Order: sequence, then C-alpha cells, then structure tokens
Amino acid sequence: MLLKLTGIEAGYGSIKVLHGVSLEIHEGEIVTLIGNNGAGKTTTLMALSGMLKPRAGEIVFDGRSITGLAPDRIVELGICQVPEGRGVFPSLTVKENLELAAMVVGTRLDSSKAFDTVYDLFPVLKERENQRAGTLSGGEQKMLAIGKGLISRPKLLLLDEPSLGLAPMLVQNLFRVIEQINQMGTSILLVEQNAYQALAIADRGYVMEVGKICAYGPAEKLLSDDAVRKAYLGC
Amino acid sequence: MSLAIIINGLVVGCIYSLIALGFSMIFKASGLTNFAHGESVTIGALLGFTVLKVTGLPFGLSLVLVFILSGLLGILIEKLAYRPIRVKNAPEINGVISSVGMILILANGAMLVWGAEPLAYPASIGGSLFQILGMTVSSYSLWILAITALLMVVLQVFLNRTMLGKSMRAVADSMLLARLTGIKVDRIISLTFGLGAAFGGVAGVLFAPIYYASFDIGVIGLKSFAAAILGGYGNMAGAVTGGLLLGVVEAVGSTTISSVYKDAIAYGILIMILLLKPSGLFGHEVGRRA
Repeated sequence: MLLKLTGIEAGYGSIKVLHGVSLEIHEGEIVTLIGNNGAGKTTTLMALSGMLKPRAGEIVFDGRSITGLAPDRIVELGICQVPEGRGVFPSLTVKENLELAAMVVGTRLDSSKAFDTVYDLFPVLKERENQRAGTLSGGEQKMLAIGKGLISRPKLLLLDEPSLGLAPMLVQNLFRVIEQINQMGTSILLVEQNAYQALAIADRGYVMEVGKICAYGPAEKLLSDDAVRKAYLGC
Repeated sequence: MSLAIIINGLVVGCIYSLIALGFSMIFKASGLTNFAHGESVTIGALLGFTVLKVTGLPFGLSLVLVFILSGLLGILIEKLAYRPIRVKNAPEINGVISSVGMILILANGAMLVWGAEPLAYPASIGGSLFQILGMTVSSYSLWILAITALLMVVLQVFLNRTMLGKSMRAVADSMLLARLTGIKVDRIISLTFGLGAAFGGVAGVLFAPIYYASFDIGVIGLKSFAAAILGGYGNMAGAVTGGLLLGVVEAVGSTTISSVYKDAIAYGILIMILLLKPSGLFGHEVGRRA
C-alpha cells in the first residue's frame, strides 16, 4: 500500500469540508477521485499535500504517517501535486520552473536525466526552455506544470483537474501522457470533473459527495454503475 | 538649470531607490507592507556610525558589515512581528498594526541606545569636492552612484542566477504554488525581509554622511515608500526608477521654485502620476495577488 487515508476531516476556518475521507492507493495504480464541484476533491488533495492540517484522521504514505507534516517535507518524501489552473511560476522561465522543482528534492541540477525525461514527454518545453512561463499557451503551461510535478520523480503524483480549460484534442493527449507517466512507475491520484475519461484510464475510482466518499471500486465497475452514470457521467 | 542639480537629485534618488527596493521585494514576497522598513535605514545609519567609530574599519568594509547586521535584524523582525500573523492567517490589517508597533519599538530603542542627538559621520567620508564639466561635485556623490549601481547589478545577478534568488521570485509569483513545489516558503520570506533590511541599512549608511544619523531619520522611509508606489509597487525596476525620479524632481523643484516646497512638489508629482497611471509607472493591471 502506497497511500492510505483514514477518516480525514479538514476544512477552512470554521467551515468543515471533509467529513471523514478514507481512500487508498496501491503502488503503480492510477486512482481517480471524481465528484461534483464543492464535493471536497481539491480539499482532499490539499490535506494530502500538507497545505491543510487534518483535524482528525491519519495519512500514511509509504509506511509512515505524514499527517500534519509541512508541504516541503511531503514533497521530499515523494508526493507532488500539480494544482488546478496553470500551476507554473509565470515570471520564471520554463527551465527555471523545472530547476526549482528539481532542486527541492536534491535532484542534481543539469545532471540532465530528469530534464530529459520531461523534455522527451513534452518536446515543446525544450524549444521554449528560456521563455517566461507566463508567455506560454494554456496547453503548454499545463505541460510545464505536469513536467514540474514529474521532474523530481515522485512516487505519487496528484493531479487536480488537469484537463480543465484545455481544447478537446489536447485533453486526449493529456490523458495519454498521464498513462505514460504511470507506466514509468509513478502512481497517480487524478481528480477530474471529466469523469468518463478519468475512469477510462484509471484502475480504480472513488466518488465523492459533500465531503465523503460515497462510492468506490474498480473503474470499469463504476463506469457501469447506474447511480454513478446518472450522477457523474450524464448518461 | 544645471547638471549639478540633476546629479544631486540622482544621489538622493539612489538612497530612495535602495529603500524602495526593500519595500517592493518584501511586499512582492509576503504580500505585506513593512511600514517599519524605514527603521532599518535608521538602525543602519546608527550601526554604521558605531562601526566606523569603534572599529575604525574603512567605509567600504563598514558598509558590508552593516549590510549583514541589518539583514540579520530584518530576519529577526520578521520572526517576531510578522511570521506569527502570517502563519495564523490573521487579517492583513494586523500586519499593518504590527509593523507600526515595530516602528515605535525600533525608533525608541535606537534613541535609548544612541541618544536623541543627531550624530555626524567623520567629515573625511564626505570626500573632496572637485570640478568636472564646470560643475562642483563631491567625490562622495559619485561613490553613492557607483555603490548603488553595483548593488543593483548584484541584486539582479542574485535573483536571476542563484537558486535562492529564483526561489524568491517563485514565492513572489505564487506562495501557494511555491509551497506545493516544496520550496521552504517561510525561510524564503524571512530571507527576503533580511535582504530588504540589508538594502535599507546600506541606504542609511550612505545617507548619513550627507545628512546625519539619528533615531528619527526613518521618515525617509515614507518618501521611499511613495517612490516604490510611483514606480509600481512590487516591481523592482519600478522601485529604482521611482526613487531616482523622486530624487530628481525634488532637487529640481526645490531649486527652481523653493526648497520650502520640496516635499509638496515631490508628492504633488506623485499624485499627478498616480492619477494618470494608478498602478504606477511599471505597474501592470490592477489585480489582487494570487
């Protein structure tokens, strides 16, 4: 077991968003977390990344409790999050964005294997290496954000709505890239509103509703579940 | 209007620029305006006085020493006065109150230590006067211009070439993303406060020989704050331009109109520019920090 959340409760100020979330990810899996807006998907990721301290429950990663650890420690241990939106530092160049992400885990700079992996996956980033990230197109920024999450070779990559705002063709590519990353040995927790496509590439899925997991199981099973189809797949 | 007046304006403008840079970098990184930043100028000037007097080090080395000491003080101030507020997500106004409190503590603390009388730097630092292109310029003025230029270059190199500098720019871009990237954001913010205060301290040491050192010279911070706003708050190039512009406008205004109206002229121009371009000379569209 790579990651296990047990009864996580968390929220912002006096507002409680998560009312006891439990989920697990095995090594090598793609797990997707789907649900409507406001269900608590992003909050779950923020608790996982150490941005929010859980008020109750436990997070165990790779055999040790990471509940309440600071975000930088969690990144060091091998959990990287690509947040919703563009997820890049706009005034830094493409290369600087990647360098910072690599530095944090002590990947030796310019010992270029880590960079090569990212550039192989997204050749356009190599071309734009010295360009400011803010001048890239939306799709390119998304690639950089994912490359940034990837360069430190995390054991677990958290992706928050990666397809949001991308043109349909780019979305196709994106899901293919996510599968590729997974095949390289990185486990993935994928938060998506695009539930159908997420379930199509995932091993297992969790469905979230108002701060709780309301259904879970193998992806194919969820895809054929009537209740899930009605609520999230629109068919 | 002679070139000498412009040069004098640029010299004072350099001081404003160095202080304005501190305001801007701290704001950019932490989202907080350190109103007590002017006090780093005060402490720097007074520390410089003591260092020169006690150690007898040459002026240049004293500058370096004050740079370091002021930087450490800035880090300490951030830890004591701002971090607790930032970490607990208190409303921004609490940070303002805290920084006003720091002004009182630092200015009065300085008065306790160094007394209320203005202290004059050794006259030898003022340098000699000489004639160039028919104007009388002091060699010290040229030193101020040169040292400021050097500091700006060093800052640029630091921000663009070192990982620490890049981390600072990343935190300034987005604190949330910096945290998620694994950057130790608290450490970076603390360093930014240190760097800002170090620039303020150096400005104090450079300023004192043409003025004097005293517990109350921190008011120069207010004008530098205006310069930072004028240039576009949070923008480094803007802070420098704003500072130089304010210095020159002040110098020209006080010789052509009246030195009595020096401040009125400076702030009048500031208000006019901000009416025309509310986000400042180098400012971008008005928006909230991410």
